[in-house]
Amino acid sequence: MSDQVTLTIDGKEVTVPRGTKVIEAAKQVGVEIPHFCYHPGLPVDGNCRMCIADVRTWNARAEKHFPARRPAVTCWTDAEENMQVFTDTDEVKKSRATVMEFLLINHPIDCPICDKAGECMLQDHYMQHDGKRSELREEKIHKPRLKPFGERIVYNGERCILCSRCTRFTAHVSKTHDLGIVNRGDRAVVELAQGSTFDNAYTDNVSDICPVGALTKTDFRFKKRVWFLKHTDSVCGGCSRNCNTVVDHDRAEIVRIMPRRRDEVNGHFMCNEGRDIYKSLAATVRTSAPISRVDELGAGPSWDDALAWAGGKLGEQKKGGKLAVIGSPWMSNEEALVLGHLAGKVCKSAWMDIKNDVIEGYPADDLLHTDDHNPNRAGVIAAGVVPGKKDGKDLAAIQEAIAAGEVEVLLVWGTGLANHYDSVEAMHEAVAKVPVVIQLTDAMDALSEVAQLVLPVRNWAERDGTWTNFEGHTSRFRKALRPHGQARDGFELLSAMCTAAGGKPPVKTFKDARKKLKQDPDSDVREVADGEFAFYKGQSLYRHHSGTTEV
Amino acid sequence: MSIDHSNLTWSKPAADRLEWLRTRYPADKQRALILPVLHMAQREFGWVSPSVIDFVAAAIPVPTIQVEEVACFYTMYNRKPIGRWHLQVCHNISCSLMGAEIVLEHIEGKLGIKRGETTPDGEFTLMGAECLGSCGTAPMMQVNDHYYENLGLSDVDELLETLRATADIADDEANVAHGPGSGPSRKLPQDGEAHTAGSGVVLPGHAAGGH
Repeated sequence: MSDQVTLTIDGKEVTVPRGTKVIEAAKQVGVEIPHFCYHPGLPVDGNCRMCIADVRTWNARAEKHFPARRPAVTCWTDAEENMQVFTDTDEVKKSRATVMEFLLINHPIDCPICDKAGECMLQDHYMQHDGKRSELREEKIHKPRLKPFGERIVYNGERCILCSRCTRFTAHVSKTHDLGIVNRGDRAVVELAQGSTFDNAYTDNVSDICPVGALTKTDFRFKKRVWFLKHTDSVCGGCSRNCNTVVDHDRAEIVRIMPRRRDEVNGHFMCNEGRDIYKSLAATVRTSAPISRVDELGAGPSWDDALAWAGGKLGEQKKGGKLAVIGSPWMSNEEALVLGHLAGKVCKSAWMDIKNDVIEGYPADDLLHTDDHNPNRAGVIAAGVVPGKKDGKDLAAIQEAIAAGEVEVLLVWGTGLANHYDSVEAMHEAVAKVPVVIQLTDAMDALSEVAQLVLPVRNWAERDGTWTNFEGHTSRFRKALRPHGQARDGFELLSAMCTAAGGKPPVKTFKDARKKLKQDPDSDVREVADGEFAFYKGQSLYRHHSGTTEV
Repeated sequence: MSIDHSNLTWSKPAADRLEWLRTRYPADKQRALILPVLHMAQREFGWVSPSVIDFVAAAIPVPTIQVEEVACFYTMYNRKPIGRWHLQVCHNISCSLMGAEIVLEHIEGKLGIKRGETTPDGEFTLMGAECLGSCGTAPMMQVNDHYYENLGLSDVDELLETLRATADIADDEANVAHGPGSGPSRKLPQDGEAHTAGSGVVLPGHAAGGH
């Protein structure tokens, strides 16, 4: 038997590996089969019956297709050779409408106060596949509507359609077995296991995968109607996993962070800490303009003056060789390429390394968390900021040289230099021996209090770039927010510093940098989260209802 | 007779039976043990309390939530403490036609409780039940594991008196099995001991156990 099977779906021929489910095969030819319980990141359950289609199998001996006795569940049915699938027949449409009617019997239809409205599968499928008035005269069944599942999730039993996505998530993905469906028939509800506090690091995913508004996040409840959100592809910097994310923002403010599917990096999910990272971002202390502590520049120099002065100091080191460069695992690959060039080629720096900007975080686990709480150590090294590149003169050597007063100019990217000293005071004491300390940073820290020049750069939400995770997969993040004050793009600023120091930047444009780094085109992969329709992402409600979909 | 659920342990026969049950399912399908082990636990400990659920989950072992899901789904697992005598009056079609509602109301009046409740002295728990498979001898009720059929109101009165006077379930089980009631009572075969059920009185033409 061949490993591939060829079948037709709504007349479109598609070849898929044997064992592929019909619903997945259909996606490949642009046929989106409506569903609720199916999720490619979870084991198949087949309970909602929404994904039914007319599936006809080929009988080789009779040399004809067997007519289907009844519609088949496409999320459960394997694609077979010569199979014919019809997803749009009158019978199938009628079955879907019946399923919808059934699911809505006890659903409260409280969309106006539901956080899921606008990205709710039940709502969309109703518009598309049912659209009828309710014929029900009986009172709806009442269930708990405000039941906390742990600190972060609130359960509404009336909205729940019992698709079991959340229970399968806790059983098979987080493997914490927190949720289950108890009781039966119209009394069935999702329930927290007795003794469970539902406080593991991945609980928020159950809200993402909930096809209705039954599981909402305390962090997002009643905060924003989803159709006001703008969606920007991003990457989580919380650890070296680099979970691909979508930053949902409105009016220069990040409202929530959602996972974006990237099979080889994070699959479909992300952790709670990564979702909360926007809060720490909003809490950072920043400077909106360059700060100087040298007399010739004054306290608030212009960018031009600051850059010229910094370039001059760096340029002087071409011969002296007393420049130490400390990069950061929070730099993008493109920035690291330019910094490596500036330090090594332009200024002939003697010392180069990367510091540990963030040393505290969630412990590593089997699912997503890694033990490096910085996103891009692997990428920064690969792009050219190599620890101890010259004669093994790494961070330890830099610290020794600083202590011995041998370093004339110290160029630091980002925060957390004090992590490498016993205390902030010890760090202050050490860098006091360096005549010129230049810090390029997106957040103020202990070093910013003493550095001769602090140049504000844009943080990850304000700039374009790529990070490479600990397994070597590169992911692209994009500018979501307006930059803070006069903060400059790191790539552009470092390129300008190359010129100011009397050299030339290694590449002209951001695109050239990516080309030079030979980045895998997959780093731009942009897949929508599963179970969600393409038109949720970056599309307005109006376009959604006018039927424009992005496949 | 209340059993302390704070420190549960299996009796020797139950522990042996659990080991025997294990051999009936493949090693990777031990989840299938939930039903029989819950039944066994209910017989051992009286009712399926949260502690019993934890105990069963640990004994199999499976995640607690899976045991909860099963225990909530089936009505034969008692999720509340029940009285010494568990009266389940069938009120499905045949029994209703033959006056099950009258029987139920009569018992309710007699014991001073509603269906679903237990008498304050802990003697009786009354429940309505769906079809117990004894339609030919309606109306009927099940008391603990025994059927009482062709019930008349005087039979019910007599039965309740007898039950109240019966000191201990274990000692008098045989006695109760042949207790009052115009129809013969049948002992339900217990799971795993169906081969011994032949000793009870089984009406010709009725499947043993009423299934």
